[in-house]
Amino acid sequence: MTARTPGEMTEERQTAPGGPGWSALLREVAEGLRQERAALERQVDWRVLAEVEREIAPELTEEARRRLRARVAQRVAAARPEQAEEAEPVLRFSVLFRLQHFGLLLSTLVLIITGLPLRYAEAAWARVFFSWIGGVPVQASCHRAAAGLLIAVGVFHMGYVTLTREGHGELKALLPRPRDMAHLIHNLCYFVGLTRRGPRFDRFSYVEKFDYWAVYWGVVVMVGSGLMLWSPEISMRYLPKFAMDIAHAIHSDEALLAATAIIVWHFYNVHFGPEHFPFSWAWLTGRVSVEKMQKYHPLEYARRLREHPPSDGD
Amino acid sequence: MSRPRLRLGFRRLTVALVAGARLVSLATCASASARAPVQVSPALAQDDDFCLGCHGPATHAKDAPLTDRGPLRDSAHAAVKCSECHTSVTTLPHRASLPPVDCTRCHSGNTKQASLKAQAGKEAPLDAHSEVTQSGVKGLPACVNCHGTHDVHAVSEVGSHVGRRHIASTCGTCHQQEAREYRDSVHGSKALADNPDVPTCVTCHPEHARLGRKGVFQEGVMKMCGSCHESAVLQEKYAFAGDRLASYLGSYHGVATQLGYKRTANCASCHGSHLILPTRDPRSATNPANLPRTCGQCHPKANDNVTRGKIHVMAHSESGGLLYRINVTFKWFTLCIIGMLVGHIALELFGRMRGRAGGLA
Repeated sequence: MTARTPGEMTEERQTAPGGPGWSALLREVAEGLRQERAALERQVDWRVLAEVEREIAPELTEEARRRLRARVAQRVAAARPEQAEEAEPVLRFSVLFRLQHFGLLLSTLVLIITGLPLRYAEAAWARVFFSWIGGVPVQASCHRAAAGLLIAVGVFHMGYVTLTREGHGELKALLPRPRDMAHLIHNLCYFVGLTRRGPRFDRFSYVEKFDYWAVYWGVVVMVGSGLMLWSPEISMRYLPKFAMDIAHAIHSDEALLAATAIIVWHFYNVHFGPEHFPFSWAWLTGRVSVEKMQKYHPLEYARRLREHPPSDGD
Repeated sequence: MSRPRLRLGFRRLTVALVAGARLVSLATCASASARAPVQVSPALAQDDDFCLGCHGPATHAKDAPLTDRGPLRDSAHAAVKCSECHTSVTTLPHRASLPPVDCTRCHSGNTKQASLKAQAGKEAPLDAHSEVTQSGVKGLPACVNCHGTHDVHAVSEVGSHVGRRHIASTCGTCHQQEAREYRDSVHGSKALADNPDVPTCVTCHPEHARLGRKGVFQEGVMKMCGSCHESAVLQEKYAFAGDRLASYLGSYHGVATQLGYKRTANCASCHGSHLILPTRDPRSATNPANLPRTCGQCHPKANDNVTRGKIHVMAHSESGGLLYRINVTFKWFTLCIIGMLVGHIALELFGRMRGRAGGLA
């Protein structure tokens, strides 16, 4: 096993084929490409493979090459339908992660449905809804029950990010970084055609980070103002009337903002977007196809390959 | 006031004279009472003085209720003969107790007289009282209990029992507590002083209109109060605050009311229904000193905190101050955020059209 310098590596890549095994493998891949070009174009993103290689190039040892070779072989096999089944989707969201999302989804949905008509009480549809649901007492109970669930999810999440290793890692991956702003600008340039390639995202793109912190802000504001309004008898033992009015205004305004953002933004990103319609299954199965991983989270996918390489027998 | 009394005296004298002149027929009447019944002929039915032979002040028979046509002559029914109302008298002597007079003979939709038809509306006058009476409960007032018997006057007349001045005491015959409170209220004290703008009992409880739940019920009461308090003319004239209804509808109380909840505060819950007083009055339920107790009717243990901040606050107009600024800030905040998100989506779709997939998952 001989250590190679990065310089040698770069040269090797530029003047591939390099090592005997490496060039043979790439030739095999190229042959496969020629044979089943259409299928390969659909299923193997060559650019991503190149990215994987570039990502781990500085530490490319014999061991790494072996892994890469195995992976590429697997991809090539996957690209030949008659030979192998689809590559297994990647488990991107853990059970705990999905559980929290489900609680958040359920509580938010009920809160919006039972809360929004209050803002439009003068509208006919609000009255129809209220007579259908069974009047103000039923609506108030549902709203408070859902609020209780939301608070429980929030508390659980605090425990998740502080006490579990998994949650801690997710929080770290979600922290906003300067790179996210660069990604945003890069992506917009890509959309309008100023750059040839889009940004390559890690575990969470700036979009997902925005979603997370928007929910963070929303939950803090809504739970805070909502708790003030929960029992006016208790609140007004300590708070003046105008504080209740402010809580009411904020609760109502932020609710509208949150509901609109969810319906416009989140629903587009996971439901109505051309690639996800009717919705992405990831929130239930936690799994994302290899294709989508390579496309949307190449850096995460590369790290996963590095940390958990598929064995040759895989 | 002295002229009618003089006139009254004169009429009594006239009646007495006429009665004296008809002594013979009266003797017949008196003797008839002891003998076989006499049919009331159409001619006799037109002769009120014949009735006054027994019921008149000069020669009224034993046990016959004393009356004369004095109050009737001054009333709206001056031209109406005794027999037109007391239709059950068909033979003489008549029975000791007669069934009540049926006013709907004239005051109903079936009458031919247009003016009466308009008064009565399309239906026979029915109201809360008669509905309860029809359900079998005794002792509720009939027409005459409010409108008077012989001294029936048009509502616009000073002497009317149901006019602006006297309605409170008429209703107060039974509804004593309410009438007492009303007379003390800002509305009642002005009504007694002949103010034409303030509501009387029947302004809010229109007796013959059968408003039911559209009346001073949960949803109805705000419209009832609003019909005057939202009037720009009256706001100007009496300098009371505007936007009362709008600010109420913006509050949770108003929202719940609009959504059909019955057990939330309406105008009357805080301001009172009969003893309505201006907030500056120390007896007013909405006077800051009394506010904790007023709110405490529904929110137990309410304290001085209810006085810290406006009650009728306008969150969506400039008079709302801080609340309005919060709402405006949020409005622009929301527009900016949603605008940026929509812009991002639009650019992404634009990119997709050109074959560039979005970088989202």
